Amino acid sequence: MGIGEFAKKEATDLVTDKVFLISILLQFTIISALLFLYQFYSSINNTNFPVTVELDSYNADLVGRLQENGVNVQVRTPEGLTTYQSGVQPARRLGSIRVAFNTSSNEVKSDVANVFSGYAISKIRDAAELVSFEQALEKEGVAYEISGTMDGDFAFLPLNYGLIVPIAIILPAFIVMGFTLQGILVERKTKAIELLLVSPISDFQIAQIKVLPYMAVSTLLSVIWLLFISSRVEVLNIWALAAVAAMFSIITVSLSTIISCTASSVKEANAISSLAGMAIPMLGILPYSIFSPFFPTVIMARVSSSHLGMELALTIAVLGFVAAAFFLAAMLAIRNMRRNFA
Amino acid sequence: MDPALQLFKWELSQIFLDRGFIAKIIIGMGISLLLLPFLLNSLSSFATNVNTPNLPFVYKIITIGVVGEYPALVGILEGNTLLSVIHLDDEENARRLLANGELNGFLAVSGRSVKFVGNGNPLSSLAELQVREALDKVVKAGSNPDVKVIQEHSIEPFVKGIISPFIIFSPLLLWCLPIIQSISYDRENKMLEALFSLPIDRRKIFLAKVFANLAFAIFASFVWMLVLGAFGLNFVNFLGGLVMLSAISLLIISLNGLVSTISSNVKNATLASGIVSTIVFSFLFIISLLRINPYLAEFSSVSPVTYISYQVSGILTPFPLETLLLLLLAIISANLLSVAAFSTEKFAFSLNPGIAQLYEGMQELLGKPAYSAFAMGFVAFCLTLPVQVISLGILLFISSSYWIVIFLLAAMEESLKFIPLGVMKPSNWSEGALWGAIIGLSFGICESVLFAPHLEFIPLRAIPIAAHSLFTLIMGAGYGARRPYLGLSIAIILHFVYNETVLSRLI
Repeated sequence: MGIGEFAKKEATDLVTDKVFLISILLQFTIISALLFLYQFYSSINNTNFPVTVELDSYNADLVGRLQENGVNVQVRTPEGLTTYQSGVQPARRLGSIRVAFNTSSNEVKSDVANVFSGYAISKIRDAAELVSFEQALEKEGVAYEISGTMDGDFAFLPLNYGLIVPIAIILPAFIVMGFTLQGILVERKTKAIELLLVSPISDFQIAQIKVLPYMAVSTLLSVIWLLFISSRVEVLNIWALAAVAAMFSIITVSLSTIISCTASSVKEANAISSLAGMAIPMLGILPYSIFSPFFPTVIMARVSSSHLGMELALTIAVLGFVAAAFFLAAMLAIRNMRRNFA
Repeated sequence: MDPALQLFKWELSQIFLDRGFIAKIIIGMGISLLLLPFLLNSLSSFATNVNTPNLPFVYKIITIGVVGEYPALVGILEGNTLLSVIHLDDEENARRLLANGELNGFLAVSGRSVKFVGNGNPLSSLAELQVREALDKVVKAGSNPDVKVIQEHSIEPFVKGIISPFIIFSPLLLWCLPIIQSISYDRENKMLEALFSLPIDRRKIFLAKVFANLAFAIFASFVWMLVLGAFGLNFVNFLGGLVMLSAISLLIISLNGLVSTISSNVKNATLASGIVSTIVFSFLFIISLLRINPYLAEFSSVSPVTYISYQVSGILTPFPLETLLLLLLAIISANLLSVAAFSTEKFAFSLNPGIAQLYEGMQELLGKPAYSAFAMGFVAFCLTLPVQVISLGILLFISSSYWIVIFLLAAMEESLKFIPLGVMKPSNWSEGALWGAIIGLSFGICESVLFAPHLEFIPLRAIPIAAHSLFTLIMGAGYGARRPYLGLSIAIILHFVYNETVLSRLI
C-alpha cells in the first residue's frame, strides 16, 4: 500500500465523516450570514425610509443636502413650521422618523425608543459633514474634483476583505485541524497508529499522509467559499489566495499533528489545541507593527484586494517558509513518537 | 450526606485536582492578558479615524498614486493604515498603472486644485473616501467647522467594547470543557456504568456534573475578572459582569453537556462542542456588532456580549434582565434535553446514541402521552432554530425571494412537528388531533417566549399559539386517519398562508 493510498484513505475518511459534513453546512451558514450582514450594512444608507428633520434656523446648504439625501426638512420660524419636501419617494409604508437638530449647539434630539432614530441621525451627520467640507474647501480656496468612482456606501468594504475573506480561509483550516487532532488521538488510543510506526514508511512520508490530505480538503473548501464570496463582491487573485489557504492549512494541520503526537493524554491535547486555536485568531487583532504585513490574516486581506506585486509576493513566500517549518516540526514530532514507541 | 451532593463534590474536586487542566487555564488567561496592553495602546490610533472603521486586520488593502506636491494631505494619507501611497512623476504613468490594476486611484495635485481619478470599482470609491477624509482634515485644520453633529460616544470605547469580549471570552471556552470529560469520557471508559449502578437518580447524576462544572466556572470567572481589573480592563458593575459571565459559561456547559449525551464518543463530542461553541459565539458577536449601525443598535442589546462590551467600555447600562431570561431559557432547554437523553437505557448501553434518544427520553421520563406530546413540541422547537438558521443561511446564497423564504419557514416548522407524531404513532384521528394540538401548543408557547421582544408582549401572542395548535391538530388528525402526508401538506399550506397574511401587515 503506497502513501498515495494512505493519503486517499485519510481524505475519504474525512469527507465521509458525518460531523465534517455538518460542519460544512455550518461554515456555509456563517459565511452567508456575514455576507448578508455586509450587504445589508452597505445598502442600509441607500434605503429611503421617510425622515423628517426639524431645524431651529434656515441654512440653505444644509437644507439642500438633506433634501438630496431624501429627507423632509421643517424649519422653525416665528410664524410656525416651514416644510421643504424632498423629491425622493419613501420605500416603505412607515410613519415618518422625526429628529430635531439644533444648528447652533449641534445637538440632535431624537426619540430614543424609536430604533430608526439612528438612521435619521446618520442622514444629518452625512449632510452636515458634506456641507462643512464644502464650506472649508471654499474658504481655503481648494478645488476638489472626482472622477472614476461609484455611487454608494463603501465604508464597510474593508470588512469584506479583512473579515469575510480571511474567515473563508481560516474556518475550514480550523475545522480540519480539529479532525487531524482527534484522528491521531483515536489512532493512538486504538493502537492503529502503531501499524504505521512499525511499517517501513519514512517519517517524512507519515507526515505527508497525516498533513497533505487534510490540507487538500481544507484548501478545496476555502476555494469554494471564495468563489461564492466573489459571486457577490469582487475578490482578486483567487488562485494566489488558494496558495495562501494551502499554506495556512499546512500550519494548522501540522500544529495539531505536533500536539496530538506529543500530548500525554486526550485531555491535555484538547486543552493545548484550544489554546493554539485561541492564539491564532488573536494575531488578527494585534496592533500595527513592522510584523503586521506578515500576519496570515493581513496577507489574505491584501491578496484578495490588491495587485500582486513584489512586496506582496515576498510576504506570501515568508508564509510558505513558516508553513514548511511547521511541516518539518510535525515530521520531527512523528519521529519522536516513533522513537518513544520503539 | 446526600449521594448526589457527594458526587457534586467529587466532580468538583476532580476539576481542581487536575493540575494540568488548571495550568492550561492559567496559560490561556496569560495569553489573553499578554494581548491586553497591545489592545489598550492601539486604541489611541482608532480615536483619530472617526468615520472609517480601520481595524488592525485590514492593512494597506488600497494603493493610491500621488502626482504633484501637497505635503499636508499626503502626510495624512501616508499615516492611514488602509492605504499604501506611491509617489509618481507624471499623470500619464499614473493612468497606465491605474489601467493595469496596480493602483486603485491616483491624486493629481496642481497648485490649489486636487483631482482624484479612480478606475470605477468599489475599492476606488473607498480610496476616494479616504482622500476626502484626509482633505477634510487638512482644510479644516485650525478652524472650527460651521456644522458638526455632536456624537454621543467616540469610536474608542466602541472599539474597546468590540475587541475586549474576544479577550474576555477566550479562556471561558476552556473552563467549560470538563463536562465533556465527565460525561463522554466516563461513558467511553465504562465509569458511568459504575455510577448508574449506585442508588442515585440519573437526573441527579447529570445535574451534579453540570453544577460541578458551573461552580468551577463561577470561581474561574471571578478570578478572571479580578485579574482583568488589575490589568486595566475594569467592569463598571462587577456583580452584573460576574452574573453575565457565569450565565454564558452555563450556556456553553449545558450545550457541551447536550452534545456529550448524544454523541457516540469523545471525539465526536469534542468536535461537536467546538462547532457549537463557535456558532453560539459567532451569533452572539454578530448580534452585538449590529451596534456598528445606529439604525440597528437597539437589537444588539439582546446579546449578552453587548452588555459585557458596555461594561468594559466604562458605560453604565442597566442589567439586561431580559437577556438573562433568554439565556436561562436556552440553558433550561439544553439541560432538559440532556437529562432526557442521559436517562435513557440507550445512552448507557448502546454503542451509537443519537438524536432519537431525545424523543425516547421524553417518553420514558413522562409516561403519559399528553405530557410527552407537550415535551416533544418543546423539543421540536429547539430543533427548529438551528435547522432554520442553517437553511436560511443556504437560502440567502441561492435566492432571497420573499415567497421561498416564508414557504421554507412554514415547511420546516411543520415537518419538525411531524416527527414527534411519527414517534408517538396515534391510532385514530381523534387521538392524533389531541396529541397534535398539544405539540403545536407547546411549540407555539416556546416560540412566543423566545420571539417576544418584551415580556409583556407574550399575551399578545395568543393568535400565533392558537394557529400552531390548529396546524398540528390537522396534521395529527391526518396521521391518525392514516393520511399522514395529506395532513402535513394541508398544515404547510395553511402555515404558509398564515405567514404571508401576518407579514404583509407588518411590512
